Amino acid sequence: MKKVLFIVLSLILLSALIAGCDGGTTTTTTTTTTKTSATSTTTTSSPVTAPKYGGTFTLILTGSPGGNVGWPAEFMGNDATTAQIIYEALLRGQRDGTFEYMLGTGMEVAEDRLSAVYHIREGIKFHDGTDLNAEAVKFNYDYLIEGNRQVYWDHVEVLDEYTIKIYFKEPRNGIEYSVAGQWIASPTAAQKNGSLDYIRKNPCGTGPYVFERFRQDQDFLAKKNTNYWQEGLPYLDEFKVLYIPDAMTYKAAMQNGEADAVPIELGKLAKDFQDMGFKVMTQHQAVFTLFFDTKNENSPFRDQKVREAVEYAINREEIAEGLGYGLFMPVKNIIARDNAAYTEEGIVYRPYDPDKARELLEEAGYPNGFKTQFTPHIASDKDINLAIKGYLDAVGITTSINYVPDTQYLELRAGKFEGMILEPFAAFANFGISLSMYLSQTSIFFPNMEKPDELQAFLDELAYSEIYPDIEIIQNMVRYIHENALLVAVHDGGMGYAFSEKAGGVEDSFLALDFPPYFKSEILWIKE
Amino acid sequence: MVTFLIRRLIQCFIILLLVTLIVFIAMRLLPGDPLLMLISSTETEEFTVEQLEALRRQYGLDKPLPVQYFEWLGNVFRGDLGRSLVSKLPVHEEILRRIPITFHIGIISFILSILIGIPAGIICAVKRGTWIDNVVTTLANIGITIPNFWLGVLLIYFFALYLGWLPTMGYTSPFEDFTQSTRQLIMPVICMMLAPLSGNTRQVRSAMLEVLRQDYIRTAWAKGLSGRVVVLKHALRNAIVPIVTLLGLGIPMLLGGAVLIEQVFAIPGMGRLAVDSIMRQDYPYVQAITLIMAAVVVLSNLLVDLAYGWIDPRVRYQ
Repeated sequence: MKKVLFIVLSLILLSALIAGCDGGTTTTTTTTTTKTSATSTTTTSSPVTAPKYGGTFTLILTGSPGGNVGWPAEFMGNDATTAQIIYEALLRGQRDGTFEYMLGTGMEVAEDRLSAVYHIREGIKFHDGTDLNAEAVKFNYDYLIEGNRQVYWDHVEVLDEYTIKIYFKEPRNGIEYSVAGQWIASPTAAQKNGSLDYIRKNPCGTGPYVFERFRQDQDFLAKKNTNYWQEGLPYLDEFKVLYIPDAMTYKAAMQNGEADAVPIELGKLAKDFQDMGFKVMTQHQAVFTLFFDTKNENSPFRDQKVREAVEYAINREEIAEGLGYGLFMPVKNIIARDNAAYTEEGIVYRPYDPDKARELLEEAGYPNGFKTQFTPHIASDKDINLAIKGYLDAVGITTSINYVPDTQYLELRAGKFEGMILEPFAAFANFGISLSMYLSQTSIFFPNMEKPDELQAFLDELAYSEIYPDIEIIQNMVRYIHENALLVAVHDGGMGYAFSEKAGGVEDSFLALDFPPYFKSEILWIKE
Repeated sequence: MVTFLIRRLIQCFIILLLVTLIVFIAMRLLPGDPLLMLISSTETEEFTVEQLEALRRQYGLDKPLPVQYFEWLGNVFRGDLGRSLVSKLPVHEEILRRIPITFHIGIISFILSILIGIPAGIICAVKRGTWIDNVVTTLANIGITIPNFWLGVLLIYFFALYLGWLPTMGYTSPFEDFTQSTRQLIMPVICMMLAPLSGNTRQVRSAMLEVLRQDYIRTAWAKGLSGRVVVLKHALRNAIVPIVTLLGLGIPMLLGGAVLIEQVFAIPGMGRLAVDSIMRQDYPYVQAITLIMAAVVVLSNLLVDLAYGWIDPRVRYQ
């Protein structure tokens, strides 16, 4: 008995000793016991404070790159979200749909829009000391063409040391801006050891931070680029990314002061962080929308009255108020409120009216309703899914919710879903890209949905419009979609970030670019 | 003995082949297309069916399934486990990086579960019916039933957030920073070892109780041998066989890892890699990891069988 007690007490003492030891030096987490105190949780700017030099900014990402963090021509999703601090492109897209020059200084577009000349900024070096020039840019772009990443590019020509010319296959709308987001990597690094394996693991760009180390599912570390071409930048000594998939864990990590920012979705997660006292910035840049299997001969949704009934059946105001955690805005159409093309003018909106829904179903030949299936997007809120089901059940559209994992959802989206599928409309600043991606007759997305020729006509007109983005065509197309109830907009969605008190420069950095996970890493700083 | 060993090794080889074949087929039968995962994560402006087919040809996924399988198998015999569909990097590199991490956590959990579980079980058996037995058995029952990921979250909130003693998550190599590594491992190890520790305690208690009832033990007591000699030398040695079986079942966990623990504590282990690969349908990774795990399982079973012969002279393999 005494021996047992002695052992137990020794273990407790040992635990206390270990807990009292100092934390790590160069790696990972702080051991501070101070917790993040309550701050204002708005999206307005904080008082102007001069940026400070030094420190480490730690960003949490929930998804780790699949292993390739270095070769932009092969990047997928999470790869790019991490590597964005290393790489830059000739242009960078802004949230308002405009573009800023980064590695480029200017461009001239041919009258027939079948080519464009780009001027490259002189005096920039890659992190390995080699020069950024036209040959380097061509090297990267050739890979994009070969890998079918830029299907409308034909070939690239070097005109002189700092000028390239891209030849396009078609004079598509805004094609000259397609260089935005096409990051440039060092050709020397890409050819090291005779294969791309080296650069896949050791990114080498021109960005504000120089790659130090990447450990998949663990962390990514980059150090300040002391030869960065933007004078006075970056402010930080280090930029670190931690990959934490579990929501409870990264919430705890933020509360424990182990990180400075984490991406969040508009909804419960954003509310949780607000309640914990973090600064939260969100965007309303996606609308969760119902698509229908209208090419299915037996589908009730082939009848417009049935689709209209669905729209009348769902109480979108109630969803926004009751399940939006105070962050949702009621949706009126498929264009997100934060998008430059947003309008309510001339857009048919069918407000909640279950009686009208039943009436329409009866007219369509379904007086007793019918049974169908509803596949929600993997990121959709389960409470909202249940609410949708409830509304539809109430008017006689007996709905079963078909929850599926990621890969299966994507397959269903590629043409195998039955009934309805709930998808967030892609969040491009140029909404025309989103429309084209989903509604083009040649797209792999939703091929089992009837895409009328009128719709394709809009897309064709948009594709060759002189104006970029052509808001008028986009809005006309959206009016057509709503008039014919081709799609039903259901609820608000978007992305944002939660920040610690220490994070500086976030207002001008995060959510400033055209695609939510991207941010201006060079202007971030740490307050303490 | 040699004949037995050769026969078992041949069986192991056949089992491994069957496992790889089953996994290969199962992955192909899973709903979903891995190329769609690759495309959707780029969310490019427009992706056509022709581009999708070109991608399929590029990755060799347009070939007949038997061709794909035998090509992969042939490469395995040449030491090439293939390249990831997602990263295009050789899969063995990441697997080799993860094995020590998972092994590190696994071996500590394994050893602690033995060092604590076996003595606890012995004490319970010897002190059967006393308050010690009741308390330890109850704790063991709780330990077996408690979900380890739930415990993990609780530990994070208590030790990391409330007390501020430990970091919430992460992994550091002990060669990089031993103190930080130890502090980061405390909670995951507790979660991982709890169930096997509880299982060991109960199993040892049960086996010891069975042996302590035997006549030869009564004889040993009657001879005046000390308690330590009776229990540790005579009783435990005879009770160890089912315990070895249990321990043998725990060996694969050294590499299998605990997926949920790795998820909760953001540890880049084999379990997490396996699950992520399955979710992404990254076939080369799944096949390679399964092959390695299957090899560990069959070899550990073989070791356990061989250990029986060493522990119990009555068991001999012809």
